[in-house]
Amino acid sequence: MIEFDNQNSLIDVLIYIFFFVTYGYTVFVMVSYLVLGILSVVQARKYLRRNSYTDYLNILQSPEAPTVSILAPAYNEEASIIENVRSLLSIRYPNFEVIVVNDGSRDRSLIKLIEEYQLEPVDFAVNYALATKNVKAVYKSKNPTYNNLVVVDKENGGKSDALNAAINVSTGEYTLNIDVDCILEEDCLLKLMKPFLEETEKNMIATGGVVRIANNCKIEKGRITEINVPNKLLSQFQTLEYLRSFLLGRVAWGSLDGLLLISGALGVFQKELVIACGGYDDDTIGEDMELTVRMRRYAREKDIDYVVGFVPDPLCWTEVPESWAVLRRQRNRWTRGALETLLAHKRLFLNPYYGKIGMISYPYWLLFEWLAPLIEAFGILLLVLFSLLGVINISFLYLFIALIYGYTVSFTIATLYIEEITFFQYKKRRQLLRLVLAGLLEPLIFHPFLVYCSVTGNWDYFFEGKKAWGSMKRVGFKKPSSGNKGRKITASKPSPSPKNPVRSSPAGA
Amino acid sequence: MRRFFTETYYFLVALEPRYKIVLFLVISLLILAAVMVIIVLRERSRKNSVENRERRISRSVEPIIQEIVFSEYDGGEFKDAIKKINRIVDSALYRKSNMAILNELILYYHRNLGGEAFNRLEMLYREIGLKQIALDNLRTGEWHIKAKAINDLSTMRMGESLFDILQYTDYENQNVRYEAQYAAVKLGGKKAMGFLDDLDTPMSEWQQIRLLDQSLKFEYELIDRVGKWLRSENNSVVVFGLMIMRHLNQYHEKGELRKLLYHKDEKVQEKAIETARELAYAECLENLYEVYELTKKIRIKKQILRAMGDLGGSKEVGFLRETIAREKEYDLVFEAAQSLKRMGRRDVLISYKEQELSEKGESIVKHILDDRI
Repeated sequence: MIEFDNQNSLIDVLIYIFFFVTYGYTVFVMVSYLVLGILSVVQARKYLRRNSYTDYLNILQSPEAPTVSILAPAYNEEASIIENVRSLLSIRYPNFEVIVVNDGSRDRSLIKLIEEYQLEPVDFAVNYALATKNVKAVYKSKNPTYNNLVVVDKENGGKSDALNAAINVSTGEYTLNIDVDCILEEDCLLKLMKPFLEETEKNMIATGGVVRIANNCKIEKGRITEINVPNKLLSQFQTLEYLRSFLLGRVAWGSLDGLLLISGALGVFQKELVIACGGYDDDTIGEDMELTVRMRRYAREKDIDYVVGFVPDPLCWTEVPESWAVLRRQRNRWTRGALETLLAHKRLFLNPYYGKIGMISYPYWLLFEWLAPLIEAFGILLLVLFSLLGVINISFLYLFIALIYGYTVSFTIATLYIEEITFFQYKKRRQLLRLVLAGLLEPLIFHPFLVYCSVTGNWDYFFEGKKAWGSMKRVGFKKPSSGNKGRKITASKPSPSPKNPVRSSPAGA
Repeated sequence: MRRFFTETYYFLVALEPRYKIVLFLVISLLILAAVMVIIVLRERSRKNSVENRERRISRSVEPIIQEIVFSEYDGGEFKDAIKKINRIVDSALYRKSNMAILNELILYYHRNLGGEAFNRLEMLYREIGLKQIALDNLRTGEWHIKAKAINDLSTMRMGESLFDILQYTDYENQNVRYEAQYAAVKLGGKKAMGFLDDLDTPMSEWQQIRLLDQSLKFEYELIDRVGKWLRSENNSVVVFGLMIMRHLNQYHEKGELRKLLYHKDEKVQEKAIETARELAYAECLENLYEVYELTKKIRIKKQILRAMGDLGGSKEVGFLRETIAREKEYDLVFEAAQSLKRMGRRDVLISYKEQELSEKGESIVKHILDDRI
């Protein structure tokens, strides 16, 4: 690939090393994805086989089902809050409460809640087990139908602060932490609680579930009634990305007990342990990943024989950005969030004391999640430079790029095949073909964009010291689209960023 | 054209080995991607064809099942109906798959019907050969097929299969084992629960909930094995025994229950206190005081305070009042105040509130006294 001069200069050697590392790294990444993919298929099949005859009625009728508190932080969600809370209240589970935290919204979120659910302030003794901003009032409904609804009104403090406040007022043994604008499957809680109840040897400290994309899906009464592939190409790219990330990546990591991230959009946690390890960290923007890593670290340091589970079923639906600008901000933030967590817990790196997370998960995140886009960007820049200087063999380079393209496309199509034989959500043939087409374009358009977002995220973190969140204004699921009995979800254009919004990330994919 | 191929051939032959390898990989991957697209589409067609077949069989079989279930069929008519169903599902290629569709259909009806219809469906299940298929699957299938077969047999209440199923209650595969245990209780009632006496493997909470759900149908019959379970080395069996004791009011093993209040396993200890409370076992209050002093676990202390609220008298009022005054732990103060309220001693809480002893205590008392929460 490199044409050396007769005399091997130092530069030639460096170039040789550069190519060796770049090609070697790429092949290593490809092989690791393949291994994770195979593990996921095995795990998903096992899960489906085990659950093909599961009857959830036993637990639905059981007085012994553990209590779960659903924690839903909300900031300026007036467009959708009423319907979303109704959807939460109609979840199938015998023993749960819904805690909505109004995190100092500047819109009519709280007033709408008070009016709709006939709320009144009560003398609630908040246990400040986790430090939070001041809780102004706690509301309960006068209507006994909603007696499992608690609304907390507090000063604005961000998503982590709102979640900590919700934990403080919760009474459940477990907490289901969600984004209030997500749509949950009716049996979501039953499926998420099953791993906790099934584990006999270890202490299950958290479980996550699969988050899917709701753009263009039909919604009726807070439930998804028709699953569609999004119309916009950008959302289709994200659909593929989510499929790969959840269906292949997290299922495999779950089976290896190596998950470092339970998505902020959907995760059940053991409350006692969350409180013991200090709750959500206010100072980070990747609070979901940070908490997962901290809980694992805490459990290990306290000699708790623990496990983190993952349910491969699609349980939660969320809208994704349909504009490049919003997506850029979102990915920039995810990069900074992951980076913060990785740096805050650098002690884990190749530390055998922490077992799999120290020896496998953390190094993997560092090398393939954080460094991969940087190495890729750096490699591309150098390749352009080398080709201008004429020190590389362009034909081989083109072939290598074609190899990566071929691999990415094959991997995407393999993901679609796995989806087809497991959860089979996209039932129309045309929709499937649209995803295949998006898969052909994705490596050429979407992937370079993600690399760019990641590089700017790193730049912002290290050189600009940025910590503020981007924004994604919600139109609310209630907005009807013509010709549909239900409604279809479409993300709106972005709005100027609020100072500290509770919600802006659909899911840490 | 021939020249083109010849030139391409010589071009490829002349390539360096590393080029050949990468080119080969690229072409293979692209072919693989194309093949996978075809496989996905074929899979889609296969699914569609199965769904169509399912619809067709349902359309033809459902009226016959409904006839059998809702009409007074005599023996001859019943046999004719079975012949008809057999003709519908008979196929050289798809018999196995058709029988699976039929199986699901009958199970569906069975779950949603009761009374005489129940019995007729069970008879149909036997006569049509589905029971035999399930038994064959149980003997020869992989773990998930075994588990599904047991599940089907228990759903269809095939009591005569109990002996076959009981052999799997301690099976190495957890899923098969759990299904067999559940089926044993469902088909054999309390007599079949003997497998718990010497069960070595742990039962998950999920499994305990399932077994309890079945056991609740025994409706307060005396279960004399409970004592054995409470003495078991297997903590999950002990916890299950406590659950049975509590939900089926098994008062006869109170002595064992008292011992379990001191059990070293937190979960067992917690369940024992809960059971003592639910069974109104006031004689154990002295033991509870002792355990309260001995334990450092907040969960256990909370359970004890709760039990005192249900079982206690004036002595416990004093203890609870003192707990509110001296405890620093929020959960314990809260539990003590709640117990006082349950005992009907609002007066104690109100007097406490008026004394304004501590801000935290006062806010908890206010909370407890607020009936809207």
